[in-house]
Amino acid sequence: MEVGLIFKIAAVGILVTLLGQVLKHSGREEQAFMISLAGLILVLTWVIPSIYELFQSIQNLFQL
Amino acid sequence: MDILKISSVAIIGVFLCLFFKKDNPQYGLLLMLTITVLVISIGIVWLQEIKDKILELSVYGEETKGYFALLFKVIGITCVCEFTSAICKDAGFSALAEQVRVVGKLLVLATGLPILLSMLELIGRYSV
Repeated sequence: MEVGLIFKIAAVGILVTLLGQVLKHSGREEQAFMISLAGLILVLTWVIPSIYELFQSIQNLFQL
Repeated sequence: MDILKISSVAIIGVFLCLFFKKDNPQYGLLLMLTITVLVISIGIVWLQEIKDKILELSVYGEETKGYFALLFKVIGITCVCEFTSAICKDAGFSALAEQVRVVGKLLVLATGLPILLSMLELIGRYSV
């Protein structure tokens, strides 16, 4: 799953940057910012569970 | 075999991250975060084996099991601290990275203190 996650995040990032450029050139700055924020939140919802999983396994392994 | 997986994932990830260096670097950092998490989760599998082997050494006495538990706690703390401070340094916030390292060192000292005290007490008992 992780390798797919990496490519998913890269894809979302590229899409958001592209959309942002298009919106910037057509003069709608704030929408570009909104799109980038939404993309960021989407990526965060994928990244946070994987970090939580890592910290759980570290905690179980080392009895922190 | 695992090391090949790690290096290939890291190299691909670095090039993907460079895409986002200019316009919005947050995605580059999030991508780098997932790759670090992936590399660490591959590494943790070996740590589990190392831990089991080291725990076999603790047949010699009851208190060595306690010392090994503390040792692994310290390793875990350093692992997490290095992970966080490296990510902060990557993002450019070296002050925060340094603070995380300093606090990590204090925590390691705090957890390692009982070992030091019991060792000194051991030495004291035999030297008098």
